[in-house]
Amino acid sequence: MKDLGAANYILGMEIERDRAKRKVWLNQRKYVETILQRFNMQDNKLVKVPIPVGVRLSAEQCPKTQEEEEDMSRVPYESAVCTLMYAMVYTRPDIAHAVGVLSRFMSKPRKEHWTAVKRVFKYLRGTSDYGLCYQGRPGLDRVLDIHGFVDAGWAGDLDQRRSISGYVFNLFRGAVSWMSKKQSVVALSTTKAEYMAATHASKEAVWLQRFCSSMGLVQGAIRIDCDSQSAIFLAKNPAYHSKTKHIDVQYHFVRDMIEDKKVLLVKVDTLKNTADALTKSVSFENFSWCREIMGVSGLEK
Amino acid sequence: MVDEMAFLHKNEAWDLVELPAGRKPIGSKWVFKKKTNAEGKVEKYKAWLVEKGYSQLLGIDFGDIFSPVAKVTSIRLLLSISPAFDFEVEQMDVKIAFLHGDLEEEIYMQQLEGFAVKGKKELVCKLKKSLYGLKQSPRMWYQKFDTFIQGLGFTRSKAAHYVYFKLIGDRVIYLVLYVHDMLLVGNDKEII
Repeated sequence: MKDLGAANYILGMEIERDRAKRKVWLNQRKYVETILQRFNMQDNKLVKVPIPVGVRLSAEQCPKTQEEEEDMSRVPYESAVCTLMYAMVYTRPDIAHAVGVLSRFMSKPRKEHWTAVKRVFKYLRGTSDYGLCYQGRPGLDRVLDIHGFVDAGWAGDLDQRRSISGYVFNLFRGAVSWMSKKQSVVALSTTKAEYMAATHASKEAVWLQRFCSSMGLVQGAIRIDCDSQSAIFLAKNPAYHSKTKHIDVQYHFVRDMIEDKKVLLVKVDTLKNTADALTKSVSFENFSWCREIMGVSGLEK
Repeated sequence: MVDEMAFLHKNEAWDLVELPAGRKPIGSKWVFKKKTNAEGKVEKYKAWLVEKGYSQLLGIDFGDIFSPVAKVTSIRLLLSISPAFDFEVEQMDVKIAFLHGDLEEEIYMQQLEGFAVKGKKELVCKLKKSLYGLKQSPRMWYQKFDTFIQGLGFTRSKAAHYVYFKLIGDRVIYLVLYVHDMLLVGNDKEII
């Protein structure tokens, strides 16, 4: 066995610390610079958001003519999206929604999709030094306070009209766990989309809590903020309801977790929901606010 | 390559034996790699021997092959608490990790081109240690590590089998295993 000393590079993430300020900073700057060069995007102009409001991508836009298909076959779409995914999974929750959308067109990308990929690279170029920052002091006796946000983008997928679930869990002012995912069934209303997203989030919350307590850290019921009053009502009220009978059994998981006091579902203002940027494209103001709450920032800040 | 061969011999990775009837030896090959550091500069060149695991047969050459892989969330979670608790964050690696696992199954390997023992070319290598590329190697290594680290007084997390911890009063050390590297987070250097 070999002691490599203080960890500064783990699984492709650089670790920088400021012990006096009680800060740790994870970033993939080197990796982002490498992929910008690999796809020859290091001189692109900069953009502020990975996917702007109003850009609607669908499989309908797949190549229609042979000529176009040949054009697209020369584009490294798949490998470009995969490299973005690697950054997203480790330190970049801010591009999670964009990567989720783009990865739906892996099999038949069209020009519009490739333009959108290039846009994410342009965004990364301006924020290549961004990473996750954690800071703060603990409560007494190893008490942690994980705080989650959940949201859904109803019918966000234009092809199958499915909704997008998104959640993020923060600890010490930085995101530790996040997801942006197309739901596996069509949600009939925004309430049901939010309800399913709440189930996804509560599954993760339960794991996080188990993980912490299995190691002697104290983490009580995890609070999850949700901006849909009706989804919260649905989750807290286990009564039978004619409007909910079509919801698959597995999605009632969140009810059990609330009853067992493992999860607290709390109403939050839509504009204060950090998971918003994980489920839909939002304005720059909203996006940068969400990004900041997720602890994604440059080193100087 | 010569370094690696010396290391394999030192660790008694195999015996030379005659191949039993009905068994097929598996092939192997050399893999060469540049190792780079965080700045992208070349640190060293590595050569190691890998087994062609895809030619292994279920039930004969391997049984259970599951071994846990670290979830990046757990690594982030431990890193996120480190500034708040003012924990040390250290890294360790185990040289040629897989070699340390003992094999349960009998596996035969062809002798290596250029390294075959003179006059014994018809013999095959009966593997004793799990080499890279074998389907069960990660599992064998994990089991060996698990026994070793629990012997040192570490407890395995029930929610994540690749995370261990040790508590002594107010001193604590957390350990995340990811294949052959370890991340150590805690306020007690001495335990390491």
